[in-house]
Amino acid sequence: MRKQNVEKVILYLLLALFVIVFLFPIYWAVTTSFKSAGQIMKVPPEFFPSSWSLQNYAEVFTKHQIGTYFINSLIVSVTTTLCAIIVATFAGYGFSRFKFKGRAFWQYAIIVMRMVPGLVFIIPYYIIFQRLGILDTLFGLIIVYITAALPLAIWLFMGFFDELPTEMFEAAKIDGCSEFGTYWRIALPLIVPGIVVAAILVFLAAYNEFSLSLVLIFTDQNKTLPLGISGMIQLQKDTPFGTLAAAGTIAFIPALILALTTQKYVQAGITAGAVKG
Amino acid sequence: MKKKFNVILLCFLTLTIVLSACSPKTTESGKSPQPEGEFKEVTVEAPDVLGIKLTDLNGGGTLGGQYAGQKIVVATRTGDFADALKNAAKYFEEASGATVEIQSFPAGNDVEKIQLDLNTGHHFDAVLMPVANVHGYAEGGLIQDLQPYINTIASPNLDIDDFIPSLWESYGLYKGRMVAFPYKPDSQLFFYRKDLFEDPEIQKQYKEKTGMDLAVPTTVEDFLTVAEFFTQKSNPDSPTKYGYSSMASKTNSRLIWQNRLAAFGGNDVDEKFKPEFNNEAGLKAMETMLELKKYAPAEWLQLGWDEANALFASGEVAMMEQWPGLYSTIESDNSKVKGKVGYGVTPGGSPTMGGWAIAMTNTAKYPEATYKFLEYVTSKDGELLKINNTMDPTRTSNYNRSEVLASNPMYPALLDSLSGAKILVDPDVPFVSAKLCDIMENAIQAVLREEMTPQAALDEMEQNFIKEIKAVGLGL
Repeated sequence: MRKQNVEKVILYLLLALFVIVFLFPIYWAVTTSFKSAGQIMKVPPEFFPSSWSLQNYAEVFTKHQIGTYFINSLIVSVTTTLCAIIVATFAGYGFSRFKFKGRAFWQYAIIVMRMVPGLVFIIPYYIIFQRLGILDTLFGLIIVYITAALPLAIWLFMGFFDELPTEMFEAAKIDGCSEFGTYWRIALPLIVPGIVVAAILVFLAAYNEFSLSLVLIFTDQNKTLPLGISGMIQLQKDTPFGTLAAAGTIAFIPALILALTTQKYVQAGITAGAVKG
Repeated sequence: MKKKFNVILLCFLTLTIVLSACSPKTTESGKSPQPEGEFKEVTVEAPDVLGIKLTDLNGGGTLGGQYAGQKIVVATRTGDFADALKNAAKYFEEASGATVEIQSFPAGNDVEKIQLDLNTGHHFDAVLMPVANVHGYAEGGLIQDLQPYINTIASPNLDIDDFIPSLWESYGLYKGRMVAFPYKPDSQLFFYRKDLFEDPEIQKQYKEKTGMDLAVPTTVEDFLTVAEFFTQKSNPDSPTKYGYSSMASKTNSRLIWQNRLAAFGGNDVDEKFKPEFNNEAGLKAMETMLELKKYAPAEWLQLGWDEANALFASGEVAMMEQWPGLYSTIESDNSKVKGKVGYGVTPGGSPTMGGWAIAMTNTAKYPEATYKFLEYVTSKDGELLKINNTMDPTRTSNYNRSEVLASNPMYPALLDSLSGAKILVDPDVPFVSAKLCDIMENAIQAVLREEMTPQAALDEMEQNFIKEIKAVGLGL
């Protein structure tokens, strides 16, 4: 009994330590966003702001067009997520359910694309998009992000579909369900936790991406959050910690909403596909 | 099988139609488009700047809406550079009829982005970039010679001789060609605690200790003596903990050496790109740097921009060499040295120079309108349109305006520094400038960390310079 208590105490201490390590930077960024320049540079630092100001938020909206960047990021990330998930579930289902010539080759060809560093594609993308006239458009960015997201998403979905029992598909077939009906009515509802996890991964990858957007986007009205926020830092000028913290806090909102609303699916989704049924 | 083939064919045709619709409209190439709008005399009104009424906002009468329908795209770095251009652009648009789009990219990534576009995309008509980059573009044939435009369509008020001569030569000219207009000057400045230098008690102590009068140091010898006096380690009575500070972290530390290199008669490379620092001047500059280390903060090698400035603003340092941007930290409400700092030329009289220049790309769609924009934003009155965005003037006449001088206590020192500056912070060697900076940084860091002797560092630096410069087929 005593031993169990000691174990519990150690466990809680470790958990508390992890909570501090992971949450303190977020706490610090959020509180910094409400501090004045004087409070930010104060030594010793103010762990809890002595006064709260919205000045940094006013600045990011008036001086830096954070609203535009935020909307652009949402458009790009949400569209990328929707398109990538639709295509990847189809592809994953196809690879999992059908045996066809060259199946293994195409499976590995897809994952090999994931292994090539994204930067290798930058110049070809740039030239191709220029020829197509879709440089400096959100449409172009979405195409690139979907392409980058697909390999991992397809492989995740292959695992999720593989886990479903074959008997279930056979029963559906006997009952006269079409292949699309099986996919839509039977397979898809069973892998919802997996879809959520894959969607979170795709969304966050697109939402945080910087290098490709730097090369493919030119004008302020098409910039996404990572690009817009990085432009707030100037060389040979004091780092605007308050403004950066405010922009970071705003950028953090979608991730927070995702974490809070999809929590129940995430645990199931992470383990789904791990064991073939 | 036939059905499958038809589906594939249909998909292919659809894709072709979609992609064709997305393709950019082709423009007639080969000829420079002529002004389309009708010339009408225009008067452009702008709010007074620093109490000065701006009277020449129509390009000396050469702008009259004749560039209507033309759009020029200017690329630069985000922040003050883009903001300043946007501010000036609206008056240019009113005068010329042209539309100006400023495209800006984050610091640290702008160089690659702009280089990529100059080589392949050709979106930009003009670029505003650090001088070393602009000269690299000139060497690569990516920007135009501006002289033909100056000869034919320049404003009568252009007055090239008005640019500070050192800026005109080092920013504007490359291998004898006029490739850019100086846009923003930059030079290392000497910041010192005026209140301490003027304190009679401290002056007395200094006289007792050194036998000399306390004055703002102009020579390297005096600099070291004063730095020692203001360092508590060597003088427990010193009112400041450290006599000297600067940024000594990697990427910044070469400035400490460069600020003395020219003062002792050295240079980074000559006009044929041959290294000119492995000599007595280079060695003395290194030795001075090591002397300064004795009077610098213990954490000197970790000090970047924010840290070094915060330390100076805390009042613990008597003298500092830094870019003009330190001014805003000193004068902020949190600063303990607000109103207590004086400005001068770095001891030795040859500070390191930075600076930005604006140039026209070889693929500018509307070269005349683009040239006029370049001329406009660097004109006497045009410079004042961007002065509130920290773009200091590059023209002597603007420094002679009493309102301009009164607007910033650093300006007299900046003007003197620009006149005495000889070395650019990034060596003016096209294509490999960034690599040469890295080579210098590695060598300086090795000396500061006492991993290498000054002479060994100079030898290694010289060898690496030669190797890199040879690799791109320049000079030697």
